[in-house]
Amino acid sequence: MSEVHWGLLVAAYLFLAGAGAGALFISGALVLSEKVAHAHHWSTAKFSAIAGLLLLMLGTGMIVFDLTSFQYGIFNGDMSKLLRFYRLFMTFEPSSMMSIGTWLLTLAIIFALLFCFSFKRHDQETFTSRGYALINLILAVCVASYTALLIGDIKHNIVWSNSILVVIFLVSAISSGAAVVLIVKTWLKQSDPHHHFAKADSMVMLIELFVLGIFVYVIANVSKFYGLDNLLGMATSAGKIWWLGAVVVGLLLPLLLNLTSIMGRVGVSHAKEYGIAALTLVGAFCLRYSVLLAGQSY
Amino acid sequence: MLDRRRTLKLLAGGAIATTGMMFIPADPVIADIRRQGKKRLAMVIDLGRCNGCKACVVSCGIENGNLPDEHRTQVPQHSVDLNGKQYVFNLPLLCNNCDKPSCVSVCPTGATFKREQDGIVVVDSQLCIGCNYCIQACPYDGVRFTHSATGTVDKCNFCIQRTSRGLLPACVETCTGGARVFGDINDPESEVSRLIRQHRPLVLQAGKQTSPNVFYIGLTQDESNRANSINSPQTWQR
Ligand code: SF4
Ligand code: SF4
Repeated sequence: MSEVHWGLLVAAYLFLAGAGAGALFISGALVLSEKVAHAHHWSTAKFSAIAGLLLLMLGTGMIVFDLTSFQYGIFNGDMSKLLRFYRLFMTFEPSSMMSIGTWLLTLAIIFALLFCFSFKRHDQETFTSRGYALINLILAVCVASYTALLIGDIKHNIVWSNSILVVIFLVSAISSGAAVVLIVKTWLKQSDPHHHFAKADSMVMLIELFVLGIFVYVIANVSKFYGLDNLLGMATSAGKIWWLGAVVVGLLLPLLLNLTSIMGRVGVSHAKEYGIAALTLVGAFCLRYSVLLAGQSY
Repeated sequence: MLDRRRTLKLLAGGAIATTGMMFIPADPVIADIRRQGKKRLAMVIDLGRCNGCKACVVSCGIENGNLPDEHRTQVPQHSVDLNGKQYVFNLPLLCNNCDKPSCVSVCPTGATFKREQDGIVVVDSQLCIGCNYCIQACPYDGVRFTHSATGTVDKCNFCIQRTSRGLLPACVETCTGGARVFGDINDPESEVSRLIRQHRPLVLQAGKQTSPNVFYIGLTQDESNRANSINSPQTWQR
């Protein structure tokens, strides 16, 4: 494979859908765990759900921007081509993972919208949206898995068809969702004096590091088997983005910042929290971008 | 795209499989349908006859309105090592119009489909949205590409506008070496059937399990396993 047909926009699609699903997952979990009885958790759940919804909508927009018919329509002023993307949402082809995923995303957006409205309709005490929370939780897991299955369905691709990518994208969706929730919490001026959030966040990052390690090992072996240079080696652009962006910026640095706060028993400043969240999100994007590039580089 | 009768047959196959607790593939059912007189159009390319003139590339571009840098077929030159010496051979490449095409099932709009009457895999440019999923799914690099003049995906369809009227594809018609032969494999009397019987030609990357319908006479097993690209740089120039 020499040409890159899926680049930044598809990476943004996978990233935004994953982060949105992660934020909705955490919001749903907060509601189901009844932590929303506390005012600050209620606000966190509410604004995280809104952020998750917006990210899902933005992500869906990215796949539309990536369609060559849409781009042709824009550059040539051809309205019929510009609007042709509606076919993606109006056709259901059960054999196509992209078709399944588009319907799944549409469903997730509708239920996320209902979930957000339920926060508006009920005040904190009479909050009864457990049903919506559960549906959102399930749809979030499906959407996050779909982002891996979309590329995993390309069976002859030795990078994308690796089944551990489903686990990686799922864990990464939770950690980027946690980053979105952290931004929400910081924006709401909520502090984390006992480092509950930082500890949970660090645990997810450690799990992610572990699964990334397995993936790196497998890809190194597969590359060797096919007589190729390591597809995630530092000599390739995919490898550089993977190691510097996904691993160092997205995992090691935020983990270090979290651990210094937890071990130093000092409160995390809001600036630091914003920093951790931003690094995690950049890393999650780089993870998907590097996987996309590695799968198209041999 | 299934019609009612075929769907029922496939479902019947599935029901038998479930009852007997064993897996029955759909292939025999499809093969059975094919035996009922349907065509399976294919191309046999004799590498010994290809002189690399690229008349096929030019005529294909003119016939199908492709831009100079976008090709439904191309003839890259490949080098081989024989007894420590390098030789060159021309390898015409195009969409294999596979029997089990991996590009069809992934298409989210149904724009790519396999014609039942002759097995040709086509892209309906009125339905294609240009998501590129089929390009990713095809293991034969470059045979699918985005046509810049339409913004949708394009590929070789054995010149469907010609072959549907009983004419030969443009590349076959203009091949100066007579290397490209086209016909119906399901007709035992056809030239392609005779060549396949006689030469047992290989297909490209058989391991990808797409059952290609383009066969190559003169290709070694090793060469057939290589992942060639329509866009390979031309390393051997005259
Ligand atoms: S060669 Fe590729 S594009 Fe052509 S039919 Fe086979 S899988 Fe589809
Ligand atoms: S690019 Fe067109 S033909 Fe290919 S999968 Fe997408 S909609 Fe189908």
